[in-house]
Amino acid sequence: MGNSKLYKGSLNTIILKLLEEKGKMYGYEITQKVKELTKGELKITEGALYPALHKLEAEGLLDVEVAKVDNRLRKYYKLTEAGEKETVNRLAELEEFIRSMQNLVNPKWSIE
Amino acid sequence: MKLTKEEIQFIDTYLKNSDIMFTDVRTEMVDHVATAVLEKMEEENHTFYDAFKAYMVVHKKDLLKYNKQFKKTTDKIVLKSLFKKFTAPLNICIMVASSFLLIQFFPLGDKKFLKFVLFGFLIIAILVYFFIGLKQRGQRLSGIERTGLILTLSFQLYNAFQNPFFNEKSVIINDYYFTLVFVLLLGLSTAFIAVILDLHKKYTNHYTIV
Repeated sequence: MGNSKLYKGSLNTIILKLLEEKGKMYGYEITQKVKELTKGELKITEGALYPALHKLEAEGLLDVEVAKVDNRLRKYYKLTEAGEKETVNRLAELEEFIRSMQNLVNPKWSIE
Repeated sequence: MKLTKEEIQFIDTYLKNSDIMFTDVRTEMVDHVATAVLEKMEEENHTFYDAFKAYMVVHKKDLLKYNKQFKKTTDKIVLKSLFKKFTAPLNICIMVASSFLLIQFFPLGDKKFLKFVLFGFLIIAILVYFFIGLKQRGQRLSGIERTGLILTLSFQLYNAFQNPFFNEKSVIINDYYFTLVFVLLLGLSTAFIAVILDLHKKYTNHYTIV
């Protein structure tokens, strides 16, 4: 991964966005999807992913469903109604942040 | 291709022996490790044990970090829930009403028998905790166990500083002080019971397989 600190603050938003798109996902699936989308640039570790999922669950943004898959239990996460609303807010915040960073890093000079 | 029951059990036992004692944490980790191991077996043509060993060499540190982090997250969640239940409007109403009733109907000096009641609140909460523990049939669930730990610590703190059997003067001698301790313990115990029952309901729902 290039610089994990740059991604750290956006981990929750990344999780919410993926769940918004896919409906419901389990932990390992999230790590693989992120790896695939970022072409291996971002690898979410177990130590970062699961505490983030549990925090979002405790905040009432995620709901949990357990299913039996191949001799073991699998925990699926999905957005609650509050989670869906929060995803929209957080994505808007992230977009605003990216725009501000772009302006800072690559300002467009103009004479008015 | 799928892992056998014995292979799943092997992963579970390995994690248990690595001090990952809570069932809810381990359930999720077993699935995570099993999926990763299975992928390795398919992609790299490994046997189960080779794939498991290769996975653990790289990821064990992260899994243990998750376990440690999980306890902290659970403690924060439990403390937050306790505060929420303690300050819930119904709980506040119960505390205010009981303080009025206490001052009204039990004047100073008649309260000596009530020192048992102070203990009673916390003991009822502890009994609820043990009853729920029995219903879990030996499964250690993080939220309930961490709540139990905080409850035990509260009980010990009360014993150390306010136990009326050892420190009779402090609690019994002053009408308002007694009422304050009485009301706080009542509120705290109901908050503990509400949190334990909520967590029990949550775990029952979560582990009801769909």
